[in-house]
Amino acid sequence: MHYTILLFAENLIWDKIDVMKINFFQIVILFVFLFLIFFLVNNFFYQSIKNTVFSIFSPVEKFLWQKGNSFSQWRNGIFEINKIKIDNNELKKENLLFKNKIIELANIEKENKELRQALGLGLEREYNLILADIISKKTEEDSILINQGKKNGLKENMAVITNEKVLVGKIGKVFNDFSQVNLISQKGFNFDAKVIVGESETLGAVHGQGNFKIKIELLPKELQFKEGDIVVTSLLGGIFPENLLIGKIKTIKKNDLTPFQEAEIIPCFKEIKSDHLFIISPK
Amino acid sequence: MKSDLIKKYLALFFLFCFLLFLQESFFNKIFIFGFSINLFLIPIFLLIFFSQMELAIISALFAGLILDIFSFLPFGVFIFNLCLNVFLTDKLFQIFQKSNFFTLFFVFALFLAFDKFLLIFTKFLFGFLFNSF
Repeated sequence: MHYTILLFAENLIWDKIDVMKINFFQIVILFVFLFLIFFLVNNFFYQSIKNTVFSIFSPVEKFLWQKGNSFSQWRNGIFEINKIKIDNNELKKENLLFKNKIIELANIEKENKELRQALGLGLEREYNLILADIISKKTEEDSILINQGKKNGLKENMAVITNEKVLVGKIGKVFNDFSQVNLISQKGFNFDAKVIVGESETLGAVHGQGNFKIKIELLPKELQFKEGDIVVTSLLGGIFPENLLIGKIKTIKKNDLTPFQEAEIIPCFKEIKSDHLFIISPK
Repeated sequence: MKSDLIKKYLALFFLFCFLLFLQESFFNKIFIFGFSINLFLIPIFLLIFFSQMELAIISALFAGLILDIFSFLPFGVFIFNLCLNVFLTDKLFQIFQKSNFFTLFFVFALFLAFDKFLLIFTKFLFGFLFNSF
């Protein structure tokens, strides 16, 4: 009797082990299968799959992007009426100041033009500007999809700007007809920049924080910065041309333990509603 | 019976396609506390909550596949991320039970947090494994 029970128990256990074996075996096979698919797609078919998908869906994505933009403007208009009124008053004041500045700058510009001509400088002289349309924005990745690619001469790390000379980012992955633009707010995006305070310029390092946030670090502690100070690109890093607008300082953080101060920046590309961008390509 | 199942899966696939276009056009521009709303997570969470695990996993696979196709990240990141998140959230529901509204709110908050943290982990893992990121 005891022997029969033991035999039954033994069989039951072995049956369970068999079931477990099969389940474990199935799971292992599933993982190996998935790994193989991911490996093959990522290493051999990534470029062609992405290019085909973007080619098929880009008209729809572009249409939705434009509709989304007009929706966003309409929503801002409704929910931010008070803010718009305050902004309007401030802009009127700023406008008066800038009118005076324009008169001063007109003279300087004239002088500058003559000097540029004499020295052969200028962005248009040094670079080709390639026009591209925005197709969609990937919020999770802080990147944009544009409709120009390898066929149009785009290469990785080319700078991307707007027609107002606002720095947007640099070219990431390049497909045949499309490219990814890594926004300057992307995590791990670092480059040199300078803060303009009056007539002086202070060098610092800009870091992307993700979620459309950026900050500037390595600013000397002894210097005073204030909200609204302008941050532009510097030639030092060799990535971007000089004096492209990055943003305005929002908050300054000082720490007794570190020899430098840092500041949060409001990126200017966030305010742009245009559907077009320019890629700076060397001549 | 089989055709019903296929219809159900097809409906899910098209639902996620529709959600993708809605996300790309409108919801990418709406931020709550600095974070954009991810529409894909809501139906998946609801399926886990109503104990439809099979459908939740299929949804995670479909949603992951669609997100992977349209993303610049290595292929598989979103599939892996969402499937892992479904398993973890199901385990959380087993631990906390679906007793009241606060539990539901708490598990949903953890579900959203898992999504963010798992994405960082998966990006790193896939970058290391496939060297394309």
